[in-house]
Amino acid sequence: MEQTGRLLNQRLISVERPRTIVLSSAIFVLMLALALIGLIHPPQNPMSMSIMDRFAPPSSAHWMGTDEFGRDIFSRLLVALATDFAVGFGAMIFGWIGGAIIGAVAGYSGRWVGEVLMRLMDAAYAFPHLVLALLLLTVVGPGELSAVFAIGIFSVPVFARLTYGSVMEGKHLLYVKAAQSLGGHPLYVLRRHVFPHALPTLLVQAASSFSIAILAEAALSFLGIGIQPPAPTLGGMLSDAVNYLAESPWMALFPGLFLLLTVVGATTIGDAIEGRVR
Amino acid sequence: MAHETADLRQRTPQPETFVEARGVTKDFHQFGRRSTVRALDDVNLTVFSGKTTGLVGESGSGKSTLGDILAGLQVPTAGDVLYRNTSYARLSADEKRRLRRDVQVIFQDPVAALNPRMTVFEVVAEPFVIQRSVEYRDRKRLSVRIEELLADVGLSADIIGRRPQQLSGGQCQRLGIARALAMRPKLIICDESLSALDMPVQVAVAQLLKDMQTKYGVAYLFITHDLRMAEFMSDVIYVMHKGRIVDQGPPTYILRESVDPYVQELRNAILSIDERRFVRARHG
Amino acid sequence: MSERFAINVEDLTIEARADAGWISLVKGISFQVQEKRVAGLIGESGSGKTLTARVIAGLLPRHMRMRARRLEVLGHDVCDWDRQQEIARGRNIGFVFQHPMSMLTPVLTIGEQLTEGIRFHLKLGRRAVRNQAIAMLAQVGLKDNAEAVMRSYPHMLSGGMLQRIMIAMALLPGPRLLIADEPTTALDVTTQVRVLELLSNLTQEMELSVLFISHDMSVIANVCDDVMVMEQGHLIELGSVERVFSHPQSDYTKRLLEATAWHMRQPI
Repeated sequence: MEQTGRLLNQRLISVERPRTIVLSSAIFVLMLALALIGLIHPPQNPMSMSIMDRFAPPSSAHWMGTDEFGRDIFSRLLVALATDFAVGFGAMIFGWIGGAIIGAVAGYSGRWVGEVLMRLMDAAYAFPHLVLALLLLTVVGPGELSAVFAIGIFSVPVFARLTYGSVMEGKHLLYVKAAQSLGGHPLYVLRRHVFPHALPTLLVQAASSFSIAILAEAALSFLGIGIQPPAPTLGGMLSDAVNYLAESPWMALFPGLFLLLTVVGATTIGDAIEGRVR
Repeated sequence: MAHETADLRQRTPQPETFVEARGVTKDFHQFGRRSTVRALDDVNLTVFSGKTTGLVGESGSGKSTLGDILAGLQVPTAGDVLYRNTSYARLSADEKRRLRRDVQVIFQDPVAALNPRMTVFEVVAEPFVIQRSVEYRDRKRLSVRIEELLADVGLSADIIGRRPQQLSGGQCQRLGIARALAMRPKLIICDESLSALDMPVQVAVAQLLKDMQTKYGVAYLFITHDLRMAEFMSDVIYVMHKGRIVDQGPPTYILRESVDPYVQELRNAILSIDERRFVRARHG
Repeated sequence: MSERFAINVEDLTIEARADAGWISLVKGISFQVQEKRVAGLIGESGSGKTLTARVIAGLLPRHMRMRARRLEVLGHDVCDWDRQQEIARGRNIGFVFQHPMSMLTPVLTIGEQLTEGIRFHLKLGRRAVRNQAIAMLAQVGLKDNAEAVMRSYPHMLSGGMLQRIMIAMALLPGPRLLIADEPTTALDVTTQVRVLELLSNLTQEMELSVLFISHDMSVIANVCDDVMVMEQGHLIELGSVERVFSHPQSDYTKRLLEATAWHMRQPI
């Protein structure tokens, strides 16, 4: 009966949206906002040193205190957030695009090509990612772009696998077959039908990869390999703070807290995306 | 005299062969295993312009595979498929484009055949987009054309903004037909297009298909497991079993005279479900 | 206490949560299924017939809610089940669904799945259970290769065979009520006949009460004694198959019958 259509006009809700996801997404947005402030106009000069103000605890002048060079930690933290967000996004996008291309090619080509490419991706994925990043950075030298490249490259296998899976699944969708029968060129069909079908999964993975990238960058900077001082990074600030943990704990507390919040926020926003998009 | 014979031939036109399968065989290789499955075995089938060819078979008979091959969506392992007497494999780029416009498909699951993210408008507009036709460049002409197509299939223009989930199965199938008719095809392959619909809707959509044939002269390859529906729709019926054509002929022949054992089995099965108690119950 | 009715439903309403609030998918329907009779529930898609069957089986989907003045299955109030009765429900009510794969797991052999259920309900030893399973397979027409079937995995078998196995699974614990939701819709015509015959014979032999859901009038005519017609959540008409088919009272029922009659217009 044609009237059934009207009944289906209403979308049936089957999942309650938990308040925790809203809260965590808010945290991520907050971190992002802070990063943007750090990018555009940090309250104080993150580089200006002041011997007199060294190791100052949190006060109204310096909300999070100062470090061993008298630099304002709050400002440094905002700039560090901005830098790490940039690297995180950059690495995630690099991984996404690289992985998506490989995955799409693998999925749309014949079986053998697909299988071979995926085995290569598996091999790459099996490699411990930090070690790989370390190696790459030693080869190409430290710096922001190198960090993006080194971290991004170990996101490629994951995205490739996911895209491959989605394309393989998409190939069997009836409306994809319909588009082919209409005369749609493979690239058109991929863009118009298969990719939007794959998008939700990829978005969720993007959030996850982003938080992994941030952590990786922190780890590399902590080791002194990623972005070089005096440019502030979360990892770098933690590395400095380790030496002064007993006397000036706030030097480690705030960067650590921000790192935690950013990663948790990014991961849960992935859950939020998944809930809305499915 | 020569011209007299010519005159005669004109007065009794032979049905023109539009698409033809000759000795088509299709094997599927099981990935990772040695064995192959033979889905089609030396199949010969002709579709005539403006007429309906029925293809009846149960699931696993290979009928959908044959439909795919005739639609150009799959390639036969052996044998040939001809479009206007030229093999599919040897078509020029231009002829391939013509084939794509001339041969369309409507599918078994009407809702799954539509992209859930596209509106009714986008669905019917897609053929124009893909073929880069004249209407596509002129938005106004496109809208007019789309409304015409919707009217043709009995859909009102006010559903244009809706998405497939908001339509019933019957409406989705009509939409699929509108999409198939957009390029004024010469052949539409109906792959079990009525099976998923409720009975009253099946009746209505079958009638719609017939009306479209009368109006536009489109040929159908009507693939179904339902012998009675095939009888209603077709001018000629092919019966398929395990990849082979076991019998073919006009509906009256298949339904009454054919002595092929499988065809008889089909008829008996239908009889025992349908008539045994239904007719008796109805007439007390 | 003897129950006259296998199923007794009074004023059942089922609602689902939607954007604009709760919408009724089944609107205050009432009917009874008598013991040892086969009752058919017919309607088009969206009529609410499957939902009704689910609720009777105690399987209301999570985002829906129901209320009824009375909902009794085999004399027990369905809303009041506790754990023991749930297990009893498993033994007294058998289910057969449209897609066998929804009841069978692909990772176990047929034998394992058949015996698992029996052992849980009937507490018999291993050998006894196996013999019962093979006997049941024979009853559903798989006598000749029962052993091979027991060793097979679901994906190796055809739709018709799987459906017979589902029936075997449903009937093994010896239920008194069978709920069959479009059991033959997904099967070929030739297989459909045989499975329907099987169902008919078994239900008579075992004196089962059956709730048979279908969208196909001709199938209902062949299997059912009584029929209930649903449309858009309402129960339009009910009665014996003979009465409803020969003297339909509502226009909707007439439409359904005419469509089916049209469909079989050509005498074979």
